[in-house]
Amino acid sequence: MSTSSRPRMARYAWGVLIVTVLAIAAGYGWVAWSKGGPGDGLYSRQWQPNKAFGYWHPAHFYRYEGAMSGHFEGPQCVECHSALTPGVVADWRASRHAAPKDGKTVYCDSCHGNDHAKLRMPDKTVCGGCHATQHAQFQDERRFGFPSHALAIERAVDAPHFVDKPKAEVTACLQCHSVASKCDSCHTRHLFSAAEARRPEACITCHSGPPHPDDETFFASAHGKRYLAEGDQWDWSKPLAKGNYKAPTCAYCHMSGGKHQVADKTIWKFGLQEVNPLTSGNQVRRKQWVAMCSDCHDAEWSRQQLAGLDAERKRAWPLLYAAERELKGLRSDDLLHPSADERPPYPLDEPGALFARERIGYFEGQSSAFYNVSPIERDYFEMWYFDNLGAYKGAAHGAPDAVARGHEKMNTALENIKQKAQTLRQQGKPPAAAPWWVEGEYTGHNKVNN
Amino acid sequence: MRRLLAILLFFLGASAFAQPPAGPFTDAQCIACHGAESAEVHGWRLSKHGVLVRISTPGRAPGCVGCHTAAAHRPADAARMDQTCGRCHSPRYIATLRANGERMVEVGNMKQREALQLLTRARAEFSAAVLADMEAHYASLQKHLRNLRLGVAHQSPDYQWWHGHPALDGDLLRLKGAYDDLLRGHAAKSK
Repeated sequence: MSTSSRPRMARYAWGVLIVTVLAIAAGYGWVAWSKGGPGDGLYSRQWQPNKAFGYWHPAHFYRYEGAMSGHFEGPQCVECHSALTPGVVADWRASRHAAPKDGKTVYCDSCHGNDHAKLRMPDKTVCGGCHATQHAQFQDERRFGFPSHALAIERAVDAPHFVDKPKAEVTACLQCHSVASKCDSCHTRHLFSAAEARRPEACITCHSGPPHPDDETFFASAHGKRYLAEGDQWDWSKPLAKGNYKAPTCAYCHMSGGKHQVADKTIWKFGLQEVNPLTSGNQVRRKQWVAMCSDCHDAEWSRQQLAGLDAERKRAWPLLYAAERELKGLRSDDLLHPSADERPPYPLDEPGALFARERIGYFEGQSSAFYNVSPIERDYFEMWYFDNLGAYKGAAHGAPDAVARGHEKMNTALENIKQKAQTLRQQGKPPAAAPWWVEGEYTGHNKVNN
Repeated sequence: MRRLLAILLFFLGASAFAQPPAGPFTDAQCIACHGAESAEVHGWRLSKHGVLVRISTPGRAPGCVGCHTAAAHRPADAARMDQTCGRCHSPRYIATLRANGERMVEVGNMKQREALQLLTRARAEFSAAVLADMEAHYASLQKHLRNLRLGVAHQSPDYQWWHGHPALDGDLLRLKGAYDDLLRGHAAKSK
C-alpha cells in the first residue's frame, strides 16, 4: 500500500506546485495589467486623471500644451523669460545653477529641454541626472515601505478614496504626495536652495494638520522654541552636522548629514499601527536614534526618551483596540446604520455585493474610513487618525502638552463611542437605510463622475 | 462703567467692520486684524508662498498685499491676478490650477447643498428645539467650506484637505446621522 501511495502523493505535490507557480504568475500579470490604465497605480483602469495632475506627477501625466515652438539655447530662454516670467529668472539667477563652482552654467534647457513644442516638466529623475547621490538615497527609501517620501505617490493613488472621489477633490492629495516625484516640494523652484530646505518651515506645507501636526509639535518642543527664538540668526548654509546648529530641526534629525533618506530610521512608522519596537531591526534603529540625540544629549538620557515614546504608544493601543472592539461588535450584530450594503456603491464597491463589509481597523483599510461610513465609524476614524497620531507626534517631537491633549481626546472619544454603541444596542435592529443615505447632490455626483 | 466701555468698544468694532478700512495696508496690519490663527492667515502661512515669505529672500513670494493689493477689501480683479501670478507661473499653470480649484470648491458646494436640502426637510418636520445637533453639524460644515475656499485661494493643501474636504465628509454624514436619530426617535415615540 505504501509503495502505491507514495507516487500518487508525488503527483499531487507536482500539481500543487504547478498551480502555485501559475497563480503567482497570474497575480503578477493581473497587477501589471491593472496598472496599465489611464490613471496611475493599482486602480489605474478605474479613473481618468485631471489636467492639473500633470504638475504633481509629470512623468505620468504632463503634456506641454503651449502654442510656442522652436529650438532654443539656454541664454535665449533667459532673455525671453526675463520679460515673461521675471520671478522665475530672478530665482534662477540667485541659484547655484546660474553660477556653479565648476563654471558650467545649468540653464533652463538643461532640465526642460531645447524643443519648446515638447517642453519637459522636470521630475526627480531629471535632477538625479546630476544629483545622483541624493537621488539614489531618496530611491533607497522604497526598501523601508510606508511611510516614506519615495512611496508617497503610490500611497495616494492606491488609496480607495483616491479612486472613489471626484478628481478635482483629490488633487489636494497629490500636491503633497508629489514629494515622491519632484524635488521642489522642499527645494522650491527655481532657486532650489539647500539652505532653505534645511529650515523646518520647508516641511510644514505638508507636515501639518490633524493627522500629522509635525509643525505644532516641533514648534512647541524645547528644540522648536529655541529655533523660533534664534533660528533667523543661524547660518543655514552649514551642513546638518554636529556642532553646526544650536538646536535640531526636522531635517537635522530625519536627514542627518543631508542624507536624502527619511525612512531608514523609522521605528513606530507614524503611529498608524502597533509594532514591536524591540525587534532586532528596531534595535539597530534605536541605536541610530540614540547616536543622533547624542550630538547634544547624554546617551542614557536619550535612551530614556525613546523608552518614553514606547510607553506613550503602549498607553494608546488599548484605547484604540477598545474602540475597535465596540465597532466590530456592532458590525457582527448588524447594528451599524447604514450598513455597508446600504451605502452608495463607489467604483471600488460592487453594487449589492454579497460580502459588503464595514472597514474597521488598520488592516481593513481604516485610513479610507472617513467618508461613506456611519457616524460612529467616523468617530473612530478621528480618534485613530487625528487624536492618536497627534499624541504620537507630540511624544516623538518632545511636546508633552500635545501628548496629554491627544490622550485626553482619545479617552473622551472612547467614552463617546461606548455610549453611542450602547444607544445603538438599545435601539435594536436598525430600519432599512433611508434613500437619502445614497442620494443627494454630492453623493449622486460622486457615484458616476469620479 | 466697565460694561458701558465694553458696549462702546463693541459698537466701535461693529462700525469698523460695517465699513472696512480702505487702506493702504501692509501684511503686518492684515495679520494683526485677521489674527495669526485665522484660517486665512494660518492657511497662507502653511502654503509655499507663506513659507517663502517667512524664510526666503524678501519679495520672492507674495504675502497678503502681494495679491490682494495694499488697497484690499475690494473685489478681486482676475486680470490683475493673472499678471501677479504670471511673474512666476505660466499662463497654462495659472489657468489649469484656477479651473481645478474652482472645481474643487464646487465639489465642496455640492456637499453643502446636499446637507442643506436634508436640513431644510428636517426644519419643516421638527421643531427647532430638537434640531440643535443637525444645526451644529451644518454650522461646522460652513466653517469647513470656508476653509476649503481659503485653501484653494491660498494654495494650501492642508486647508483644501484636512481642514476642508474630509472634514466636510464628516459633517455631511453626521448631519445625516442626526436626522436619522430624529426619525428613529420619532418612530419609537409614535409606536
